[in-house]
Amino acid sequence: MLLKKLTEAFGPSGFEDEIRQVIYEEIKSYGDSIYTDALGTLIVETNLEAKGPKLLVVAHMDEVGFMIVDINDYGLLRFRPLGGVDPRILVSKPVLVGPNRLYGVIGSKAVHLQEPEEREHPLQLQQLYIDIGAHSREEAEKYVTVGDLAVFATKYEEVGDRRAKSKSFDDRVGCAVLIETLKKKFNLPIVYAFTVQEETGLRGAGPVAYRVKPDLAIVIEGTVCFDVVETPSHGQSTIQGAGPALSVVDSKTIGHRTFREHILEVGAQEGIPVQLRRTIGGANDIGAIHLTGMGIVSAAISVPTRYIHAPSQMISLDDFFNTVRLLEAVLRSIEQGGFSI
Amino acid sequence: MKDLIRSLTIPSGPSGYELPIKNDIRQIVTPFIDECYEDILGNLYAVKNAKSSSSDKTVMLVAHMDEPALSVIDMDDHGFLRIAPLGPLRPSALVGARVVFARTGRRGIVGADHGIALKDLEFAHLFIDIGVSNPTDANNYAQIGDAATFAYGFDEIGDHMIVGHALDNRVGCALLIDALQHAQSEYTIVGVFSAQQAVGSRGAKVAAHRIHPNVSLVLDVSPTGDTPKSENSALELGQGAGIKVLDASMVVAPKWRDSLIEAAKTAHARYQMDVSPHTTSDAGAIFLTQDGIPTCGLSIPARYLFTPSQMVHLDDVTSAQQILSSWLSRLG
Repeated sequence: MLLKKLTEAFGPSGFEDEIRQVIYEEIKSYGDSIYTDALGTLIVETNLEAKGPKLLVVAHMDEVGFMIVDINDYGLLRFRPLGGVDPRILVSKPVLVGPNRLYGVIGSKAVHLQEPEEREHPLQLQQLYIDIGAHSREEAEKYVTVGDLAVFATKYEEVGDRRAKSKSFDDRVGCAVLIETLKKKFNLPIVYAFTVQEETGLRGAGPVAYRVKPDLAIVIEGTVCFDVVETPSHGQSTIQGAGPALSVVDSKTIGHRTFREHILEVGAQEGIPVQLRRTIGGANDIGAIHLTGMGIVSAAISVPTRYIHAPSQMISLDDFFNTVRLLEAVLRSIEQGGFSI
Repeated sequence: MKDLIRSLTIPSGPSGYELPIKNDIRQIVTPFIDECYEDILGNLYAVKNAKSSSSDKTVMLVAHMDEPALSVIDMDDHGFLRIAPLGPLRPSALVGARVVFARTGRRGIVGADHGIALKDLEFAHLFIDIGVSNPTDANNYAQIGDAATFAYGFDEIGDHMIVGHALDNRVGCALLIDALQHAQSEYTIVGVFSAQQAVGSRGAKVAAHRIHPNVSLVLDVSPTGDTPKSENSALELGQGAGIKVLDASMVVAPKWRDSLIEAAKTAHARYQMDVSPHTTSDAGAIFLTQDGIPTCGLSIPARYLFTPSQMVHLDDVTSAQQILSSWLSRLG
């Protein structure tokens, strides 16, 4: 099961070795040339001699995670997030730590022991630690070194009707869409890139765009979705199950209008549900890509992801399959000359 | 100059959809330039070749033409439009504001949810009313992704002060147009009317990469410190054009800062030093491009930025015009 394999792989920003290997095993018999760049992005070139606009199709393979920054006398691990994590969601969550994937729990003072005023405020990062069951610094140091990484320990599971949860649909769902797509043949020069360090500031994508110099770029993402409990429509961003979401504006990009309209049209023709992302916060690799060189026409297509940047992210499997369908349909339309820059 | 500024403040130019102002500028500059083109980000380039064809040096003059705007992110069942800001607008400055949609020309009013104190106001509480009662009608005038800008136009206060919702940075655009029309230089002048400045100088970044000039000069407004309890700044209205020393995104190399001071002295134009550590400009995106680009800036002091009523002193515009002309003729 591809989504399970991808979402359970370890790969905080800057430390994508395991997930990169997992992806490589999936795709190694496809593509004309497969390599990594200096930052660690996995690049797959296909059909570069074909006519037509050169495309760069991107999903980031890193996930939000943590770095161990100190070990205290009690054998407890102090940590800092890699990527944007809300400290309020961390307490009591199980994590996997270090190269041996040691099981740990993010701990803090029990509610019984908290002073009344402590209960008024959410726990802050400096009040939290990872407990790996060690009794002392010396014992902990046998297993963990400062600089080791940790990720949420969540397993992939299917939930309810056609939904699934995992620790890292942002953006392993995008990686899965790319993998499914690069197994298909297109009469177009397409470069697929599984980028690094997106969560720490879109760092991997710019160098790839600079190297590839594409005419068009498409990013496949997992994006915010809060279509729950009395949220007004303009606070939801996206609706789960309503299809892939196209970015209009986010904090790093004003979307390319003509390209977005083309993708909407393709979705309508093919009977694929498509929605617009109705919020302005957040960003994705397009923020770095569209400003590379003399500017690149780009679009972001996202799978709505509830509880993003948290231990149990949830997507609709229908949205995932519809994103695979939409990307193929868009590439076919470009293949047939249906979109010119 | 005043008439040019007036005409430039009318067309809308939200970040990311600068078409109305761009079309007007293109029409104005076409008769006196050698080449004109656009790019993917929406920048407009206007090239004026050097006086002698043997020169291979280029100066890039940049004035952003975009203005902060309100982007439609959602529409309710009654046709009210929910919005998010493009650029540094404050919710409190928007309640009751009149706005216009750049793509369709439809006018609207910014309203706010009832019962929110001004200090607690967020963009999520605001909406635009375009005078329709259902989403079908609303869609004819504004769709998700469309952007609206202030719709107040141009005014004069006394003999010297001009007021407008888009003096930031149509004053800079006017100075750039004037330079393209009149300047004599040994350098090829590439005028860039840049796009998407208000959201982080995105247009300037790709323009600098494309042109890679020998030197660049940015024309923009800078906030003054001369109103009651204003932020601390030595910049004053009417005391001359600002010669950029630094802003939040860059420091001007002394050599190029001094070249502007020399140009001002030669032209007997008034100037003041512009130290604006809390504002950014296109200069910050340009000077770090590729192997680095020498970049300086001329600033027009302005009051009440990011409100519908920005104020500029005409004498400062004249000073900037004189300094720019002198600087361009001294290049080489």
